[in-house]
Amino acid sequence: MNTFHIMRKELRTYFNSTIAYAFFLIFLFIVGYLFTFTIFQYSDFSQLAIRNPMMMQKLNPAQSILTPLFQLMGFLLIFLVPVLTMRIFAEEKKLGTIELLFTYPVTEMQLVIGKFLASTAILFIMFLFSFVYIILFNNVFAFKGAEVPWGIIFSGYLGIFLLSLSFMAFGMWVSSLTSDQVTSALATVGGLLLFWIIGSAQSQFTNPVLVGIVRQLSLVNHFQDFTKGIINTHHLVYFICFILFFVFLTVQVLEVRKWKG
Amino acid sequence: MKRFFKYGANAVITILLVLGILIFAILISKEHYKRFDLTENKRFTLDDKSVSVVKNLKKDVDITVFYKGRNFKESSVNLLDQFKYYSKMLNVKYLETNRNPLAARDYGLVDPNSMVIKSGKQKEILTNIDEESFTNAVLKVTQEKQVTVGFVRGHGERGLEQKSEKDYFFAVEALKKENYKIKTVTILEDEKALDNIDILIIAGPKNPFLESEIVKLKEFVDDGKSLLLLLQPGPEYEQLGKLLEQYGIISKDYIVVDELGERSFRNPFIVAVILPMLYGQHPITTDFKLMTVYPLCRPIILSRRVAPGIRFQPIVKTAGAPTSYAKKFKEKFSKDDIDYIKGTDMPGPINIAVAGTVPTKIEKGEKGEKKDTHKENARITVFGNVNFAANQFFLSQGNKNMFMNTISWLTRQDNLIVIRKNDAKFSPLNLNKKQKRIILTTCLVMLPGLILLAGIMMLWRRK
Repeated sequence: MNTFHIMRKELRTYFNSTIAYAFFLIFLFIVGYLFTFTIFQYSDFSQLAIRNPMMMQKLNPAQSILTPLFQLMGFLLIFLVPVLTMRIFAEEKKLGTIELLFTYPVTEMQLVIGKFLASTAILFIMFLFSFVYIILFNNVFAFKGAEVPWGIIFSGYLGIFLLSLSFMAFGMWVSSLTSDQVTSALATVGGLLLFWIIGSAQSQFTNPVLVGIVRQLSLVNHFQDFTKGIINTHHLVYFICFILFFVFLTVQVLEVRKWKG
Repeated sequence: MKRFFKYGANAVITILLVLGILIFAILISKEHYKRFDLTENKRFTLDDKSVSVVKNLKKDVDITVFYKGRNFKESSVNLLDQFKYYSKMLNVKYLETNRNPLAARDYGLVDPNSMVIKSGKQKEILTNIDEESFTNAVLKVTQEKQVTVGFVRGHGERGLEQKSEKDYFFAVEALKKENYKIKTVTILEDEKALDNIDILIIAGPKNPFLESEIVKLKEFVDDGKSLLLLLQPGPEYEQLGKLLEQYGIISKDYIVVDELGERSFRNPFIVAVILPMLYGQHPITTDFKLMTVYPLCRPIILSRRVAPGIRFQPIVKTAGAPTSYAKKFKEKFSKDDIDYIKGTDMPGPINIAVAGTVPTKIEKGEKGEKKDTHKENARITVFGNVNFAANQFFLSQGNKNMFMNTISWLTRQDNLIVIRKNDAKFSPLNLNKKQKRIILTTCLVMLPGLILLAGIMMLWRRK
């Protein structure tokens, strides 16, 4: 019940400030722009492809529109999720309200999960809004008699949801380490970018163990399959472990208060 | 201070323990995973042929990927990981070309991004990698003997090198990709014209065969080799007909009329086989559920009176009358001519293709005793249609699969009787002005506008 109360309080804070609206606005505007641009480009290419069989083989609506759309969403969230997570604990620490929070009968775990669920709800609402693009996509292609690629839509959303939860778990942990929101946001962006680009460093290593570690650490490597319409249980396990680890680390950071005195 | 270290150490140990458990879970999931391909065409799943080839490997295949830059290596890893999931016989090694110039030179590589596939003494080098090329390369290096396919010419058969609608260029290319050696054969060219041929294809002959040619064909079959006949309505197959009659196959000069073809292609002379039950219970068509299309068909009838040991059965047939029937062939049909006339027309179901085996001739020794030659029965397939594998229709629906599976059965490569994957589907899109306006307004004005409005309302309320 405590978890639920914390979640409600957090959600109220999000919607009573400009954060949630700014978050939705920036995300939907950029993704909307890319969607419009890609679908218009696909339409132009289709006209050329009808006359060129080589191009025809490469043009597929799910691969040409949905896959890049999900990939852009993933990249964009590196910069947007820190906006959401920067204040989770940093603000409470700065204002001193975190001490007040602990005077209530609430455990560190309940506090962390409550806040995490509130941010999850924000992301869920945002992805619900983004479903408008899928409806538009389906209407346009259903009109042409093509099949709706529900498989790739499902796996894409599952991937983007897991990725954003991973970002959030990491951002929440960073936020628990500092009392400055700007530091929290910048450190989260830096850390997430590192997890994003680390995969590209694998070609620099010859040691297969190092290559394996770098490949495993890279969030892109685990995310890309989802955007193509593939669900691999290994990637699912990876994301779940990533989320659990940083949520657990956040709880540990908050518990330091108890024995640090 | 002591308390700080005690709790601190405790926390570090707990974190390391949790991290260890999670890493263990990730490593386990890396080795034992399930992969679900949700794309409409199973685009990222190996097709049945690839899986069958690697699963049936009997000897090790060494793959060395030489790469310069990330892209080639990454696409190789993605592809080879899928194959390795099905076979432990594939040994993969990645080498950066710049750091291993001697190894690259030993293989005679020209392109720094190359994949060398080696098994025993056989070697193949790929520079453009995709599933099909890799599978065929594995097939090439592991096959004991290359199967030779002979296309008979000299009777107006379909051409192999032209890309015109009626020719067999695509079919020949598909055969070459699967490591078949292609030859054109003139039966009477010399005594040994058919000696090195494993399977003989006669694709749509228009002119009659000579009696001496038929004798040669009979000897070819008696020798336990395979024959694929692709007939068409129109020509009188007098001599060829006589040969087929010996095997209990009768091909009358009728043409098949199909209501499904009329509905699907607006042409009653195109037979469209949609229902799986119209495919026979034969290795070629086991689990075959794809639609196949046969334009201009000649009925193939199986006689009940056949010599012992000869066994033929239908592999493709039409629906029953009045949906399908056959009419006596003539050059031109008017619209009224094609209606079903009971008693005059041949009622469906009509066989479009039959396949079967013929016992080989038992050679006799000098003293008349039987010589054990260990020859398997000859395999024969007869299609009353030649157009289904011609350029115009080869890539339509399941036609390529039907043709390639027939060849695999005739060449006794039953592990290659599988469903080959089609390419990703192309859905063209031509947005009109109204559609463009709707997309633009919804994505860039309405949706962000709605959020902006909600934000302003919140600020207003707070004020």
